Amino acid sequence: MSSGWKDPHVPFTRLCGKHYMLTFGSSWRTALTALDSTGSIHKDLEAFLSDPYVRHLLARPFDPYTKPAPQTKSLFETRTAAINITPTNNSNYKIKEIKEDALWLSKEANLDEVSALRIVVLEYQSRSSAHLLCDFTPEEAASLQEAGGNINTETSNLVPRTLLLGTTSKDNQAKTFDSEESRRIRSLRLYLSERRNLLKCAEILIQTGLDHELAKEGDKAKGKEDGVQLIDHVRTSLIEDISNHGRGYNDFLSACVQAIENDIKLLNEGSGWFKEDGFRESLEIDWLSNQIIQATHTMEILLWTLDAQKLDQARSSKIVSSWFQFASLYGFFDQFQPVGVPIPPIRHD
Amino acid sequence: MLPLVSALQSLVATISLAMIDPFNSMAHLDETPANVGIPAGNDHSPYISDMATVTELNNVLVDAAMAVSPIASPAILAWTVILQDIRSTSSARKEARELRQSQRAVEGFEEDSSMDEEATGSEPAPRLARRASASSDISLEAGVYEDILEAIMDVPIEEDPIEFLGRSAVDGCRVFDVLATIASTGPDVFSRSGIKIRSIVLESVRFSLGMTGYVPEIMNTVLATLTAGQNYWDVADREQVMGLDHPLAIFLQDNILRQSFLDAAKSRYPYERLPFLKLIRAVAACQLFHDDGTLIAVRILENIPSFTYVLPANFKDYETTQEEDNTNSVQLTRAVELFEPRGSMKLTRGRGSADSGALVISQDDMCIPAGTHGRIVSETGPKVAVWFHEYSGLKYMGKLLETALTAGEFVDATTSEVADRDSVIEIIGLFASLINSGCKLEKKTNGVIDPSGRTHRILEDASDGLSRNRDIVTVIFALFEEELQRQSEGVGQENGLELLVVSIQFIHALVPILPGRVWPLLGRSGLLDIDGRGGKLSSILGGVEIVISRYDFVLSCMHLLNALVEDTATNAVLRKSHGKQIIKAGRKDDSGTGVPTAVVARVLESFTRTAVDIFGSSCNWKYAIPEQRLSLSNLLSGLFDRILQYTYGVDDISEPSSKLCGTLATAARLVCDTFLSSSLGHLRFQPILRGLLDGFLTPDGTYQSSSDKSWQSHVRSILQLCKTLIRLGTVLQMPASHLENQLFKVSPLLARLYAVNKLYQTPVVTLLESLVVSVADGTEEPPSLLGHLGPQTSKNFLHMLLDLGKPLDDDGHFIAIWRLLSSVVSNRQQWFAIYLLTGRTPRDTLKDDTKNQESATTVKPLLTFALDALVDIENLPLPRALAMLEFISLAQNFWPWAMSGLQKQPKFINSITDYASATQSVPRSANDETSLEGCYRIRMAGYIAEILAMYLYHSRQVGKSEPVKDIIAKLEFFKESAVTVPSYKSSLHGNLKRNFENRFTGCTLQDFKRTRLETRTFGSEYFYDLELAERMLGSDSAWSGRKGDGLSHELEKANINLSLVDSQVVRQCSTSVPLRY
Repeated sequence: MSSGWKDPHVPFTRLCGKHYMLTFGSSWRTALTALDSTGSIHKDLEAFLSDPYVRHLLARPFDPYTKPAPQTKSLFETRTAAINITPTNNSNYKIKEIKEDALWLSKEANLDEVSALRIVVLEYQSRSSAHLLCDFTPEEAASLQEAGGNINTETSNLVPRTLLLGTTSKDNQAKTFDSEESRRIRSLRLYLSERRNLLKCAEILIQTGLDHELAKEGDKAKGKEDGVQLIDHVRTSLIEDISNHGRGYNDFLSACVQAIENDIKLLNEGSGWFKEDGFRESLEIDWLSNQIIQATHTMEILLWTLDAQKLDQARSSKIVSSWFQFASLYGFFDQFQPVGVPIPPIRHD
Repeated sequence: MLPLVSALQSLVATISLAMIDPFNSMAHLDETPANVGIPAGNDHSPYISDMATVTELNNVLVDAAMAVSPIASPAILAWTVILQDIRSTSSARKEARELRQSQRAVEGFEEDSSMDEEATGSEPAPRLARRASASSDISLEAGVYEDILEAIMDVPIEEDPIEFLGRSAVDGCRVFDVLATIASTGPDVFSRSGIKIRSIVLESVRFSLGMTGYVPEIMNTVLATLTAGQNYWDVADREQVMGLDHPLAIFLQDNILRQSFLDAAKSRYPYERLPFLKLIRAVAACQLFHDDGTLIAVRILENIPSFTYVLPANFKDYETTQEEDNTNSVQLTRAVELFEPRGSMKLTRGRGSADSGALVISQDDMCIPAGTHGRIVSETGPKVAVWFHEYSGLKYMGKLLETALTAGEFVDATTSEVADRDSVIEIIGLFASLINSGCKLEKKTNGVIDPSGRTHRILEDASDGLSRNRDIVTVIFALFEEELQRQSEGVGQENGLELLVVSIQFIHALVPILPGRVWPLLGRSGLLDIDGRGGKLSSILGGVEIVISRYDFVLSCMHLLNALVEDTATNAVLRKSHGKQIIKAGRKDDSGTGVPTAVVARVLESFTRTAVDIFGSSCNWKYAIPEQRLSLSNLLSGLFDRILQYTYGVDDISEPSSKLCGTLATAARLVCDTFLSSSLGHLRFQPILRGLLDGFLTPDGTYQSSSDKSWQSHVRSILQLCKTLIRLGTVLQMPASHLENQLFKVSPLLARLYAVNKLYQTPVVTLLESLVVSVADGTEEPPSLLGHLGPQTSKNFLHMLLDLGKPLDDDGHFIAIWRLLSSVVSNRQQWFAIYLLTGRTPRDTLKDDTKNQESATTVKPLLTFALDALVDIENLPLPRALAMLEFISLAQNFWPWAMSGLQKQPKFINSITDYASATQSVPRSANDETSLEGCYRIRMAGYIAEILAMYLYHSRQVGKSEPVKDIIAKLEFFKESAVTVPSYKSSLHGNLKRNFENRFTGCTLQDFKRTRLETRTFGSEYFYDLELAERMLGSDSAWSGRKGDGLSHELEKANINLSLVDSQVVRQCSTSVPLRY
C-alpha cells in the first residue's frame, strides 16, 4: 500500500495567501490533459512526474490512497493547524468547513485524511468551474431558447430539452450549490475522477514507455512516433519500477490482475456512500461506471505489459492461473451487464 | 456505458489470448528437456510445463466451451491449436523414439558406452554437452507432452477434448467473427492501443492457420485486423504513421500470412473476386513501398501470375498433360479472350463471333494464348481452371470497369456478363486508395523518388486496355453519372450509393494530381446545380439519405468540396499566371491552368451553396450514426472558415474576385451573406448553437472512443468559424449582424465552454474578444457582455480567467486572455471594465457594502494582478509582458481613475521606468532574433511611455513633484529614439519585390499581405502570409532556394523588419507624450 501521507505531492503550506494554491499536481485530470496534448512538454509536468511520490503512485496506480490511520490523522491535524496559523484577510474559504468535509470524505470513501484534505481543497478550488458546469438558470435558458429561434424543444432535437429546463432559480441554485451535501457529492466525484485519471496517466506512460524500451532494443526508428513525446527518464524509471529493475514483470502483472478483480468484485457491493440516509442514485451510477473504467484501464495496462513480457519471459503459472480463475468466475464477461438500467456517460468532473 | 462494456469484453478476450501466448509457450515447450523435470511449486515457472496450471486452465476453457462463450473463444482456439500441436509432436516423437531405440539396440552392440553416459546425464556434464544431448536424444522423449495430453483428458466430456474445444470455438462461438469484432471495435481502433490489439489478433490468426487453413471467415478476420473498419475518408487526409508493429506492416512482412491470404486470394482471382479485391484494397491504403518507390500494392497488381475462372459448360479447348502425375495439368489449345464484344452475347459463345467480329481485341495480356499451361482445380460442378498466364491487374480491372458502362462495347468473356456491381465498387475504391497513397507517398518522400510519375502510371496502366477514346477517368466518371441518374430517380439498386461514394473517393484522389481533368468534368456533371436544372446531390440527399438517416454520400461530397477548395488555393498563382510558370517549374500540364476560371468559380459557387443549405438543415436531421452529424458539422464549418480565410485573409486592396483566390470570391460572398446578414432569422444560427451546445455536452472521461476526438474538433471548428465571421464583419465594416446579437445571447453558454475542456479555452476567449471589438463600432450603445453573462456566470468566468492558463501555462492562452481584457477596457464595455479594474460588479459598488465586504461576486482585480506581475518585468517572457502593459495602458487611457491603483504597487513605476531606460536601439545589422526581441522591447517602451505620461499628469494634478524628477532622469532613451529614423530596410524590400514579381508573373507581394482577419504577432509571419505563400509557391525551386536562401527566406526577413518598423512607428507616437513634461 502506498504511504501517501509521508510525502504528499501537494504543498499545503501554500494553501493560503496565493491565489493559485496547488501545484501542477492539483489534479490528475490536468496532468492527463498535459500528457495528452501533443506538443512541447511542460517543465512543470516533467517536474511533477519526476517527483518520487508521484513515481511511486504511477508504478502502483490501482489503489493510490492509504486507509485512515492514527498517523495520517495526526499529520492531518498538523497540516490544518498550519493553515489556521497563516494570517489572511481573505475570508473566502472557511477552514473549518474544509476540515470537516475532509474528515467526512476520509470516513466515507475510506481514504487517509491527508489525501481527503487534498481532494476537498481541490473541490474548493474548482468551484468556479463546477458552477459553470451546472444547469442554466431560467434567464439563461430563455436567452438560449430565443437565440435558437424559440423552437419547440419537444419536437426538435436542436436543443436538448433537459439542458434548457432551467428550473432552479438563481438564489435556489446558489443555496444548493454551497450546501454541505452538494460539496460532499462534488468531493466524491472528484475522488473518482482522480482515481481514473491517475490510472489513465499511468496507462499512457507505461504503454509509451514499453514501446520506447522495445525501440531501444530493436535499435530501429520504431517507437519514434509516440504521439506523446515524453522525457525519456520519466518513462524509463517507470518501466524500471514495474519490471522490478529488470527482474521481470510478474509481480506487476499479479498486482494488475488483483486490482481488476477488486474493481469488479466491488460492483456487487455498491459504493456504500450516503448509506445512512439512502443512496444518491446519480452518484451511485458514476461510481459504478468508474469501477468499470478503472478495470478497463487496468486491463489495458495488463495487456501492454503482457505484450512486452512475451519477448523475454514465458507466462508464469501464477499469473495464468489467477487470470483464468478470475475470468471464469465472471463467465468471461459474456453476459456482463453491470446494472439493469442504461447508464449515461460520465459528465464533467 | 455500452461502448465501455464492449471495450471491457474486447480486453478480456484479448488478455485471455495473450495469457496463453501460444507461440512462445510452444517454443518454450520445445526447448524444455523432457526428463529434466519441472521445478515444482514455483509461482514463476512457465505455466505450460506446470501440470497443475495446465489442468486448471484446461478445465476453465472446457467449461467456457460448454457454455459457448464468445469472449473466451479466442483463448479456446489458441489452446486447441497448442494441444493439437502437442498431440502431433508427441506421436511423432513416440514413433521417432521407438525407431531410435531399435536403432540404439543395434548400435549398442557395436559402440562403446561413452555415448550412453552422456545421454543419461548421470554425471554433471558440461552445459554444451547437455544441450547437445537434449536436442538429440532427450528431446525425443515425449514426457511433458504426454503429461499434458494426460492432464487435459481429465474432463467430464465424452468425446475427445481437443476436438470438442476446437468445434466449440469455431462452430459454436464463431471465433473468427469474434476476433473480427475485437479488431474493429474495442478501445479506439486508431490509437496505439487499438493497433496493438489488432496485431495480437492477427498473430493469433497466424497461429491457428495450421488448423483451419484458408476459409472465408478467417479472411474477414484478417481484413478486420488490417482495416479496423476504416474507410477511405478515415485515412485520406491524415498523415499515416505506420510502425513496424502495425498490422498491415506485420501482414506484408510475414511470408506465411502473405502466402496464406494475399497469394492464395490472388491465385483464385477472378474466380473468387471479392476476397482478393478487398484485401488488395486494404493493402493499397498503406504507404509501404519498394526501394524503387513503387507502392507494394501496385507491385502486386502490376503482375498477376495466373488467371482462374470457371470454364464454360462445353469448353473443349484444352488437353491434359503430364497425365502420369495425376496433377490435373492441362494446356490450352486455343486462345481465350478475356473480353469480347457485347454483340456476341446473343450469339453462340466463342469462336464464331471472335473470328468474324469486326472488332479485334486480342491485345497481348488480355488474351490467354494457346499453349498456356494450367490446372483444373475443381471438377465437382462446373470445372474451374487456373491458367498460368501473367497479366496486369490494373489493366484488367480497368477494362472490367468499362464493361459496366451502359454504352460499353464489351463484356467479360469468361462469364459473358458485364462486371458485377460489387467488383465495380471494390475496383473503383481500390484505384482511389492507390492514387491517394501514391500522392501521400510523394509528399512524404518530398519527390525524391519521383512517385508522382508513378501515380500517373497507375492511371495509365488502368487505361491501357480501354477503347481508344476512353481512359479510366472518363470510364469512372461515366459510371458515376449513370448511377447518379438512377439514384436521383429512385430506381437505383441497393448498393448504388456505395458506388457513388467510391466514385467520389476516386475523384477526390484525382484532385491533387489531375485537377485539370476534374474541374471540367464536375462542371458538366449532374451532381451540382450549375445550369439551374437542379443538382442530383440535393435530390439524392432528400430522396435517399435523409430517408435512411445515413449520410455517407453527402459526407463524401463535402470531403470532395474540401479538396477542391484546397486545390483552388494551392494552384492559385499557377492559374492566375496562365501556366507561365509551368515550363519553368517543369511540371506536367495537368494543374488545371487551361480550365476557364468561370468553370471553377461556378463549380465552387454551386457546391458551396449546397453546402450552406446542408449546414443549415443538418442539425435537424435524424442520424442512424450519431458521429455523422459531428463529422458533417466539423467538415462544413472548417470548410467555410477556410473559404473566408483564403478570400479575405490576405490583400486588403483588391476586389475579392481579382484576388489570387478570386475563383472563391462568389462562394466566399455566399458564406458571408448567409451568416452575417442583418435580417436573416434563426435558421442560420441553429447549427452554430447546436455546435456550442455540443461543446457543453462534450463527453469527459478517461476512456476515449474515437468519436470523442472528433467531438472536440467539431466544437473547436464551430468556435473558429464564429470568430472568423465576427472579425470579417469588422474588416468589411458591415453593420452589426444578427450573428453578433445571437452570440451575445448565448454568451453564458460560451463562458461555460471555458470550464468544459481545456481545448476550448483559447478559442472561447478569442471569440469573445472579437465580439467585444466588433460591436463597439456602431453609434448605438453596444450590448453589454456583463449584462448578458449575468453576475454569477461572469464571476465564475472571471475566476477561471484569473488562472491565466495555469497550470498548462501556454503563452498563446495567456496572451489571448489579456487581449480579451484589453478589448473589454477599451471597447465601451464599461460595466465589465469596472468589474475587471475593481473586482466588483457595478451592482456591488452601488450597494452599501461596508458590512458586506466580500460579496458573492467579488474577485481579485485583474489590474492588481498585472501590476504585481510587471514588477518583475525583466524576467517575464516578452510577449506576456507586452500583453499586460497594453492592458494597463489602455485601462489608464479609458479609465483615468484606475490610476489610483498604481499607488497600491509602488514598485511598478520604478520597474517599468528602469526597464524602458535600459532599452537599446536595434542596430541595422541585427540578426533576426535580436530584431524580434527589439520589436517587443520597443513596443513595450511605447506602452511604458504612455503609462508614464498619464502617471506624471496625475502626479502634477495632486501636486506631487518627486516622482517627476526621478522619471525625467531616466528618459534618455525616449529622447534619443523619438528622433531616430525607423530601420526600414528599403533595399531588402525593393529587391524582394523585384525578384518576387519577376519570378511569379501575375502576382505581387501585395497579394500576400495579411488583413486584420487574423491577429498579427511580431515575427516571421507578421506582415505577409508566409503559410499561404508556401502553399501556393512551395513547388517552385526559387521559393525555398538551394540552401534555404530562397524567396521564402527573404519574405521572412521582410516580415521581421516590418515588425520592427511598426513597433518603432507606434513608439514614436507614444514617446512624444511624456517628453512634453
